[in-house]
Amino acid sequence: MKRFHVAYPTTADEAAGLLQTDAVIVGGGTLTVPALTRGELNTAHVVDLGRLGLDEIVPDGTVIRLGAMVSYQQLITSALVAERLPMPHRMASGITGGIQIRHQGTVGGSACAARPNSDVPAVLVAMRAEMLLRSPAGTRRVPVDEFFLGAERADLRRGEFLTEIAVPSTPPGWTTGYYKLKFAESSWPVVTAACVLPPAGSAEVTIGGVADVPLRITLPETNRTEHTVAERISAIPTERRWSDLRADARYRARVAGEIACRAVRQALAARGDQP
Amino acid sequence: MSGTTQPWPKTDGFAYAGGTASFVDDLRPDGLLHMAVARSTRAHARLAKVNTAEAERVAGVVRVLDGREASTHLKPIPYAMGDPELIGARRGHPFAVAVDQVHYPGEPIAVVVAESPRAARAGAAAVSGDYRDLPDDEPEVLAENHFRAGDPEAAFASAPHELEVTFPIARSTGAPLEPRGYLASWDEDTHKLTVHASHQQPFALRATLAEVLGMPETAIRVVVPPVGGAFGIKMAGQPEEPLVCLMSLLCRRPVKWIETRAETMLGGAREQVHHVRAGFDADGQVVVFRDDITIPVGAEGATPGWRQAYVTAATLPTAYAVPNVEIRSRVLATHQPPWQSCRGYGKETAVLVMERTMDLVARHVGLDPAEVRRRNLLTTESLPHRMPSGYLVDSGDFPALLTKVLHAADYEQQRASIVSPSEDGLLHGLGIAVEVTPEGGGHASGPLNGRQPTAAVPEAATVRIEPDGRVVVLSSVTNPGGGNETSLARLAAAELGVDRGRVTVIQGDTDLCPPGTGNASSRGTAVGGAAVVLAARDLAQKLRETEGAERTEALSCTRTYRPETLRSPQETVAYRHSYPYFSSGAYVARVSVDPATGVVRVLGLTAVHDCGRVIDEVLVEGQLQGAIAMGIGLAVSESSQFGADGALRTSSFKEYLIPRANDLPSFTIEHHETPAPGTLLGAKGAGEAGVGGAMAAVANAVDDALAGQGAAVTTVPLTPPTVLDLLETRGRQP
Repeated sequence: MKRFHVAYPTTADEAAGLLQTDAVIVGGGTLTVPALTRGELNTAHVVDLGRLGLDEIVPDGTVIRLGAMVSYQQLITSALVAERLPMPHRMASGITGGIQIRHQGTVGGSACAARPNSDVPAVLVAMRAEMLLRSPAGTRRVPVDEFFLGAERADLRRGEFLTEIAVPSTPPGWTTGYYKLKFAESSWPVVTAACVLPPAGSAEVTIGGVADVPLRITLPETNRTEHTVAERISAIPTERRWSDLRADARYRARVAGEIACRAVRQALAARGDQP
Repeated sequence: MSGTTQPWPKTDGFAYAGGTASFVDDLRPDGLLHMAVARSTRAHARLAKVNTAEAERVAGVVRVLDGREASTHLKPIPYAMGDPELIGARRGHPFAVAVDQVHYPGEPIAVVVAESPRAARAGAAAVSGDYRDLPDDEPEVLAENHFRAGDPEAAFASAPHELEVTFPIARSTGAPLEPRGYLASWDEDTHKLTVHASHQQPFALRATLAEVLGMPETAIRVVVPPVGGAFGIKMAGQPEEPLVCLMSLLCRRPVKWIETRAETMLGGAREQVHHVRAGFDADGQVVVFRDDITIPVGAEGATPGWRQAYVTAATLPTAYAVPNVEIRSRVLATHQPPWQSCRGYGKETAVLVMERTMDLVARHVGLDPAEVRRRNLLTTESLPHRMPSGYLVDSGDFPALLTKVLHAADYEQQRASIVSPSEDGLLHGLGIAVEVTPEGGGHASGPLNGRQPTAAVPEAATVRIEPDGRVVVLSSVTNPGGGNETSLARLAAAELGVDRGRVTVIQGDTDLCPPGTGNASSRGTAVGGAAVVLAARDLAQKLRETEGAERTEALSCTRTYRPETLRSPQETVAYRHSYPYFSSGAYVARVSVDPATGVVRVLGLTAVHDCGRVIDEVLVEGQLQGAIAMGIGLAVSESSQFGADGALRTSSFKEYLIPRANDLPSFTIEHHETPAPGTLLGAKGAGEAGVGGAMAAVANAVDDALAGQGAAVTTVPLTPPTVLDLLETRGRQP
């Protein structure tokens, strides 16, 4: 554990300039601050994004722009999010840790941490979000499918930080579902499933916590979800299967089909179909 | 119910709930230094050298001390709870810091003292060891215990039915909200060492420190501030206790050490494997019970932790009248962190094994688990009952407990109405457990036969009345946060006929309070409370004798009390003093199991608890609520896990999953009072009971839910992957 300097930039340019060093970026801090306190993260420089004003939720045509510092609680209380992003809204309502964590933790921070079993990555992949990254060289737009490179590995280059997540609104007539499996109230998610169901055409379900990145799976027939998911999971190379001490890869593969079905059933029920 | 059981406000309740209680970490004397511990990263290695130079260069670091230097100042840590030979164990020489060999990951290799906690931690992180890994060795046998009754071989030869099953139980811990912490202040002028400690045993700590530091006990004062939970881990014998004192002596400044959560999580206990063989007849009458137990207790430590292994073996076959019994246990030293005392103190695992066995017998003979228990429980006529280990079950009414809990849980009705799987696809099950909890101090047991005798340990109290009428109670018992000061106060107030508001209770100060054991073995009220009552009675007598005289000085009386050593009337041989009273309980759990994910949810938990005479119902219920929650956690989610490199993987509450309120149902708790014949008030203990009962009832309920769908439950915790494995191995019923 070393002493480190904390910078609080107030503009994106200033932040981009500060990130030329090997700095740890703090968003809400629910992951980084405890790790810094415990000496698990060692750095000489910390850049806290809390004063950049990146906490706005702005509608822009068919997308909703979420500032990188938008908290889970903002998603929960925003009428706009409840109406136009029902799946992220539902996801935020199930965040573990109580009111303090929901206010402190950020959607953008969870995305950048890229933990395979966290709620946010699979939801953003399901929603086909776009990530806006800022660096002194300018702004880079990365489709979320390309953003998650591996376990705890996001496409963030040196000096880059996330400023915004552009999430396409769920169009009228489309429905969604989100189901997460965890082992106790205090537990991080183990396996998650996020379903998007269009009025016509194939549904999609995105599974978190099974591979090192979220897996978006097209479901030509929703009554064969379990089978389709099992087939896709069996094709994951061994080295890309996810396990942690809550559950091994075998358990995750066993339950993923059922977890997917539960998310699909929610989406079907939201449409008024008999699941 | 007794007249004293009207609820009283818990005297310290607002301070704890409102955040105004001042814990040891809130004490910040002038000149305070902070200590951090550098710990071994290896499980078993020669320690050629400890590199401290880099730590010494960290800004703010004042002093770094390794094991070699510590060994010139400190003696080995004495065993905190009597000679190991008492329980068939060999004697070791646990030392506070590794000198030339490390025995477990997390063993202290150096301590660092600095001007801030952060600098101390940075210094500790900068310490490294030159290790040479040692080859895997056979675990060393610390103790072997053998208890026998009747003729097990003959009984097996003639038993119409038998079953054989292996029960592996995971390592788990106590996890108090407030971790351990000590503040040592050496006063060079008075040559007195004052130690503020979040601790259960101030007098044992004082004795330990005197021996390790080579100081007279009179030069040491231990003060226990409000404690935020203990559950056993705050007993004496921990390496950091003398180290923080030594650093204060060397630096001549106050030094504080506050354990981190990751350090707390190194502690643990309960891990064991039971190979059970039971013989029984077609009516479900168990005629013979054999258990071969292997208990890895981690590296050898000086705390009472590893003694729990003895208690597990000695508590079998719990509440049941089994004529032929053979229990063998082997206690092994391994390269994991040393066991610490954990609530239940070994009794909870014995209860789990016995209760699972009773259910398996019931299934084998096709009877309801309640009926099999009725046929095997000790009856009131058979009490007091000498167990194979020499423990004496003093009192209780186990059949009545069972009847009462089945009624309270509406067992028959629930049994008849359960639809499993229910419409939502969940499997449902009901589980019963009967629990006995030997308590009151005295874990060593057995017939004397020329062996070292043991005696009941007393508690003491001073009750004083000031000229203005205020009453002060000074007790040898300490309060781990559960609130026993309230029951001590109400006992004194009742004897003296004064209001509660006039009574102040002082605990946990070795300079002020009369000596005793502190907080251990569920004896705060039953033993400590009895001493308060005796002292208050003496004081009342003195007041009556001097009635009418003008009082200008305080009047004070001090009494000690020790529970009686009971014996069974027919006995001809003498036994050691062992646990003087047994609390008991019966439990019914209702669970659902999601067969697709293996997730277990506890939907209902009903308990009937017999702690003898209830002195304060609110406090007893509080103890039981916590113990039941812990038992449910142990049944479904709590497990200390280590990686292949030996390092702890469950170092935070994100990995070590204790239940939160919304993981738990509301509990239904009733009382049943059979007075303890060996205590003044007829009270037994509360605190340990409930852990084993709830754990076993939940395990049985999960097994019931899986019946016909999967293999039998033989392990805890029943995590979702474990439950799915059981469902996959359908049809392999033992």
